Amino acid sequence: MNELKIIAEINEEIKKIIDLAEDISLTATNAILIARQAGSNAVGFSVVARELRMFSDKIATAMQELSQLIYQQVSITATKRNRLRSVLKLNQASARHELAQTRLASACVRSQSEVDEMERVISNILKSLQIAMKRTVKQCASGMVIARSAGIESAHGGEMTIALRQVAQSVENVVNNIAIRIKKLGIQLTEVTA
Amino acid sequence: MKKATIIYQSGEHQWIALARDPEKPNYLIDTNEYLITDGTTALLTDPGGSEIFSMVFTAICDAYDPAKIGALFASHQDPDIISSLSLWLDFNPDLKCYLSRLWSTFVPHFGGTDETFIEIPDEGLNIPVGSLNLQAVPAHYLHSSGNFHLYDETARLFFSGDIGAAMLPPDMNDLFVKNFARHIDYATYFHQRWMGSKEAKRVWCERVAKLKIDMLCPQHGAIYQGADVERFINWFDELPVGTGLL
Ligand SMILES: [Fe+2]
Ligand SMILES: [Fe+2]
Repeated sequence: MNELKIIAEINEEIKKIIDLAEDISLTATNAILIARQAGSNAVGFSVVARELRMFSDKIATAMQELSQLIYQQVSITATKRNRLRSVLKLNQASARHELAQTRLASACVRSQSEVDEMERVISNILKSLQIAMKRTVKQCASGMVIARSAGIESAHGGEMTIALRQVAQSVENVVNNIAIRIKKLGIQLTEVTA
Repeated sequence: MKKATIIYQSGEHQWIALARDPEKPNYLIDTNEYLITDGTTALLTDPGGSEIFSMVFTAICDAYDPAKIGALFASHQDPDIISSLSLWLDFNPDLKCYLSRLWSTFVPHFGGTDETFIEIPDEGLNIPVGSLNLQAVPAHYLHSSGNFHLYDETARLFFSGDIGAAMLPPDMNDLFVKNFARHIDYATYFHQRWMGSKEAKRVWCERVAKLKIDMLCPQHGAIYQGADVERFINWFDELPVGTGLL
């Protein structure tokens, strides 16, 4: 499949994940307020909610890093395509005529080596992308653990238990959603690498 | 395959026309390129679009060593004129490109840097090609707002860019206009629709009528020679064009 098209899709996915991370941050802030009303019993819940907020920040930062790497990837891929087209046109001309072949020989070599160099850079960016991805997957796994703890802590919420349980449930859903999307992102990234 | 034809020769001084490309896909407009040389170096007019680079380059190779080309001349900024620039510069990074000052920041989107372009001021410019002296003749607003033709006083040949262009059917593939009356039918719509200004047209016709021209060589279609040159200028002078038709 077309590299630039996949990259555009990945970028959309990243934007969605950043939105979801913001949702978590808002929900967690809201949960901290509810837990405060629930009094000292819900101290555990507050702690977990703070961790959730940290988790959402980390995800947002990670996504911004990915986004930057992808931007570099797009710009160099576009340049590479352009150069590749030149290589093709120069080779076409060379193939048609002996003198053209002689005269264009160094242009063909030069433009091909530019393309090769860009491909090296692209493969380095892809490596960084994969490393960043692995880190994000781990962050997401710990996010799931925190979301589940929120569910457990909500039981100590006294009269606010139902409200806290609802919050915990919705956080768990969102974190789950993020996890699924990040998995999808990982697959898309391997498609670009392939 | 495009064909190279010597249309003027006096000693080493030559005009080589690169025209008619039956292999070209129909969605691309057919273009003529002209190579003007004094034997030591050459200038190529409106080198064409990137899609036809290989055809132009190999057609030149049949008749002339491309390594001797020192300059390109772009009558204006259109893609069918100069989008092959980056490929020409891949071939020879030292090539210069003469171009209206209006387009010197637009055409680099097709390739080239500060070093590449020699800006032609609105009033025109003398362009040396080895021992030859060519003149960039203003043709603004016909059709581009920064537009130049090229006059070779010694050869009495005039490169007229899009003026004189005709979208000829496949059976009319002569290099020169054979039957003016029949030919001009295929030029009418293009001139009416592409040429924007009656006033600019008047100025151009007056200016060009004063020059001694044996051949008027357009970027599309057949070349006008002899009496057809004056016939064409008169026809164009009378033709309602552009804003005059709204
Ligand atoms: Fe044009
Ligand atoms: Fe044209």
